[in-house]
This record gives sequence, structure tokens and C-alpha cells, in this order.
Amino acid sequence: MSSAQFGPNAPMVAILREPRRMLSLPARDWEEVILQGLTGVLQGVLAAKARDDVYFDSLPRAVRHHFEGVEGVAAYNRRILAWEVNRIDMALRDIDCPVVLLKGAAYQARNLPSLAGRLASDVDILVPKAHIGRVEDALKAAGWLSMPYSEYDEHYYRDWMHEIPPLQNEDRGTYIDVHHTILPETGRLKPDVERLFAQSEPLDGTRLRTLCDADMTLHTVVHCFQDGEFAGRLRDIVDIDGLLRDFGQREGFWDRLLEASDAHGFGRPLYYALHFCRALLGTDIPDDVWSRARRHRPNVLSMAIMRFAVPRAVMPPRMHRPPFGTRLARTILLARSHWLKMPPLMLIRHLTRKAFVKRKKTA
Amino acid sequence: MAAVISDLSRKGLLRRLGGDGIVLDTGAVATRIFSKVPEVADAILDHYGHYPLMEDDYVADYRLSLDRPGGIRLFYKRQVIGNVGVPAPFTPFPVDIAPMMLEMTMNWCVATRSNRYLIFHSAVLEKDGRAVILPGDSGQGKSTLCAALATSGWRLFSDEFGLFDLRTGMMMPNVRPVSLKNRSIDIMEARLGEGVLTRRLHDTPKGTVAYLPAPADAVARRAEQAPPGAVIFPFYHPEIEGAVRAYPKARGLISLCGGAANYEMLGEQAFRAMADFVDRHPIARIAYKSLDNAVAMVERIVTQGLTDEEAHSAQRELAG
Repeated sequence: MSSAQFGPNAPMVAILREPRRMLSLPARDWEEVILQGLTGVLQGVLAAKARDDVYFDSLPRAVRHHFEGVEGVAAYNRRILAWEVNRIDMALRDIDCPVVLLKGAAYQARNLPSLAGRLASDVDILVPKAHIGRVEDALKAAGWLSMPYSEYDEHYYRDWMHEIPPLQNEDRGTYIDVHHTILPETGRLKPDVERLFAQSEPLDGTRLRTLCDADMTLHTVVHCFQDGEFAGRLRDIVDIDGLLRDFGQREGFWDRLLEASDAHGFGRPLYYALHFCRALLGTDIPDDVWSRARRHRPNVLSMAIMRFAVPRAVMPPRMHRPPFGTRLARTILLARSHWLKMPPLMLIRHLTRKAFVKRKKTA
Repeated sequence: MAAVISDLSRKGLLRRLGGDGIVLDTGAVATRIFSKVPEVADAILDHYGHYPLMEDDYVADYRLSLDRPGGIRLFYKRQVIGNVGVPAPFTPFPVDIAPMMLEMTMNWCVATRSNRYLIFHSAVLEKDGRAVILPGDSGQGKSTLCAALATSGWRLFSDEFGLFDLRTGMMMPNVRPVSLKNRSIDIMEARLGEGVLTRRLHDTPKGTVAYLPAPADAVARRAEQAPPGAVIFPFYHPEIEGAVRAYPKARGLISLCGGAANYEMLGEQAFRAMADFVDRHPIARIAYKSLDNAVAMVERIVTQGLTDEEAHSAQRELAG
């Protein structure tokens, strides 16, 4: 008797959706779920859900011990991340452009209950493109170093992507990604960057900001469904689910979300996000929001491919080699992510070059 | 009598390893092992044959698989490598030293995933309800002393990891074979006689290695915790008959914490627990050439504490 490997009935997905199911999870599944928590970096969120919704003491011993250990890891991660944000705030104190925290650092700064325990390592910030050189210089003056990249990689990052090559702090070894927009510049979708800054909100006690609730959600949505590679990234869907759960309680959130999505042209990725959050994690989406979002659904064939590929590809790796369907799904979505990132000719040139460089390295 | 792992035939064990896996309950943690390599089954029988056969639905802490490496290596040499499901720094070993790959892979899981405990790199043993922590880098005689104590009235907790539970202030056993290297194999064989240690593994990354399987009593009592009673840094020295010195408390605290793999992660909680511990218990260094002397010194420090002179030796050292 083996459990579903993917989809809403896969043990990992089922307990994320309904943590009480932890109480009846068979032994065999627990061991895989614990491993998938590590491979998919979901262990902190699982531990927090176990504390919230489950009678913790009735979980199996190994599970309780694992979660207790993970709580220590998560608290440590929180401390590290808070300190990193504090150092960045200090390093950029004389820069007079908006500096917006993105992703994990922003979720933590806003204390989102549904994402309690979430682990993050790098800090991502968004600054206006015109100021990116000064921000980079200020960070370098404060102890962040650029890594040695090839000329081509520099060109890839600086001219095509939405960020400069990651900087690493020389003392702490931590990374910061400095973005000037939230999707690659070569990609199909062009977000309204000025709107992102205009709607961003100050973070008390710092000179930093975060995106407003709608944009924060949409950034996570496009990070997953437009820019993402999906393989093992169930965590991205868990993030979106958490944001929708927490922000969904706020007055007017759903209207703001749809409005912002229209302004940025994110209708399609938002539709996918709502669909898969609902299908996998049972996210509560108001009917009128759902019917408005559905206007952006793709053609039947595309949707069928996504419904095949996404639930399989996002499952974090287990102990043994994944089945053929999962490997196929990952390949399809990896190809899709490249397709969405660059126009065809540029993509062919880029991949040819990458293949060539790789071969030279291994030779 | 409850079933033990060696009740399975070699073939039966291999079948289990290739199917649902076999669970080794070593006290603090349980590990489910998969493998299709016959030499791994032999290693499990040699090291863990006397451990209980766990119920099929027992939830283990870790899963690990010992596999033949893929690709071209499959053809030119029989090798084995540990797989823990996440990237890990293992390199393939010849199957002949599969027992070491088994132990190293299990160690890696404990070292990286038992963050519920403050993890000391140390041997731990217990007598009369008090545990002694023997920290030490390899080459200073920690494992040899551990093996000597484990076979002379002390209960083995671990040769490699001291697991300190910050919630209860207790040391938790993780009962596994003691790994002996090079000369200490001869020394222990001379003390214990032939046939007690496992066969010698030659040309390993650590030289020649043999294991002392955990004594039956330690296995039977693997869930019994004990409060730590002393920390003793052992130091084998060919010219010192036997010497005990107190370790200055502050320096002892730093050495102890510096040797704990996840000290920084557990942070303030770990600092407070350890500071409180060194305040209340002896923390000493011993130097010795005779194992019998070392065993006697450990015994005396744990049961009677340090003499006044020994305690003051730390002060003198600081003043000098």
C-alpha cells in the first residue's frame, strides 16, 4: 500500500492543507514527509503548523523530536535574517531612494502568521534602476563583495535579468540579491515598476519598505508561475497560500489584488496561482474573485499540460529516484520557464552558449 | 525474549534492506536503512545484530540508503556510498570498508539533524547515574579511553556525540559501536582478547579501523538518560603516568561550547545551560600513558570531584 506521490492526496500536501491529518499519518509516510520537509525547505512551516493545529504530544516520538529541532533552526534563521536586514538598513542609510525588502525578509518583517517558521537564507531588495549603481557601491563599502563571475554571466545578469549578480557579505557569508524589477527584462511580462514603489509601505523604525499586500502576493505569484522552475518548489505555492490566507482577512484585499494584477498584466500567472493553491492546499478564494480571475485562464491544452505538470514537478524530492511522470513534468516546466524568460532567438543563443561553456568546463 | 536483528538470516536481512528497510534504534534516534549491497547487511549484523528488531510501523528519525554509485564506477570497482536524500559530502568507498560508510552516514545524520539536542563532539559514558563527557579531537585518545571505560563498568552512551537535552538537562544515549583506529586496535585487543572487536578495515581514510560493538547492557538501557556529572578532556601522553588538572572554568566553557556543532544555533539557551553546568561540576584535563590509570582518574573525578590541589592548579596556571 503506497500513498499518492503528488497532488492533493500526497501526504506532504495533505498535512499542509489540513495539519490535523498529522495525527493519522502512517509511519512510512512520516519518514518521507520529514525528508521532503528538508529537501523542499518546508520543515519550519510544518513544525509551526504542528504546534498550532495539532495536539503535539500525540505525534510519534521521532516527529516531535524532529519538529523541536526544527524550531531551534527556525529561531536561529529568524535571528540571522533580522540581523541581516538591520545591517542592510545601516549600510544604505545615506541612500535616498526607496529600498524595498522582498520575499522572505519581507514576510518576516510583516510577521505573517501563516508563514511562521518559514526559513530563508538570502535577502532580496528592490531599488529603482537609476540608483542601482549607488546601492551596489554602498553595499560594497559596507562589506559585501561581488563574486567572481565570468563576463558573460555579468552580462546575463546586468543586461537581461532583473537583478545584479548576488553580493556576499565577507564576514557573515550571507547573500543579498539587488533587483530593479521583479521579472527578467527580457521576459514576456513587464510589471509597472513605478507602481510597485508608489504603493510600497514603510517599515517602522527603518529606512526600508515592503511591497503593499497585493504586490507582495503578486511578486510571489510571478516568481513561481512566470519565472519559476517548479522542480521541488512546493514551498512557493505554500507561500502564496499563506499570503492569501493572511491578507485575505484584510478589508479590500481581493479588490486590490485584482486591480494590481490588471495594472501589471499578471492575470495569467495569478489565475494559475489561485487554481493550484485551491486545488492543492484548499485555499479559500471568494467566488467573485475566482470568476474574475478565470477570465485569464489559458487554452484547454495549456491548462491540461499545467494540470499534469505542476502538481508532479513541485513535489520536493524523496529518498529514491522520482517516477518518470515527475521527471517529465520538471522538464516541461523548465522548458516553459526558459520560454517565458527570453524571446526565442535570444534563448537559443543563450542555451547554446551555456551548453558550450559547460562542455568546456568538464573537458 | 524479544527478537533481535541477528534473528534474521543474512538473506532475510538483505530482503528487508532492499524493501521496507530496517530500523536501528540506538536510543536518542532511530535510523531506517536501505541497501541492496550484501556487505552492508554483514556490517549491520556485525555492529547491530544484538539490537532489537523494531516493529514495522515504527517511525524512524532518519532514512539513509547505502548504494552502489552509478555511472562508470559501477563497472570497474565494487563501491558503496551513503545517500541521505539531501546533498552530503560523501565519496564512494570500496565495499570492503562498507561498515565505515554505514557508521559515517549515520554520524552525518546525527551531526546535522539532531538539533533538538546540543551536540558535543565527545564520548559519553555513565556510572551510578552520572554521565561523564569526554570531548576531544581525533588522535588524543578519546575513543580508546571510551572503549576502556565501556568495558570496565561504565555504560556506553556514545563514542562520538554527546547529546544534551536543554529541556531536561540530561544526556541522552545514542548507543553505537566504538570506532578504534590504528594502534588503539592492538591496545584494546590486548585488553579484551581476540574476537571482541570487528574485523580490521584496512586503508580507510582514517588508516586501519576496527569497531567495538556496543555492550549488551548499553543497548538494553539505550533509552535511559543521565545528568552530566563532569567534563574531562583526555590526553594520551607517552611520558605522563597520570596527571589531573582542573580546567579554568571560563576556558572550559569556551572549549565545551566551541566543540558543540550547533552551539551558535541554539544560542542563549545553550550558553546558559553550559555556564550553569561548568559552575556546578568538575571540568578537568587528564594526561596519561596507562589506560588503567585513565579509567581510575575518570572514576575518581566523577565520584569524588577534584582534590583542592587539582582545583587550584587551574588558578596557578592562570597566574603563571
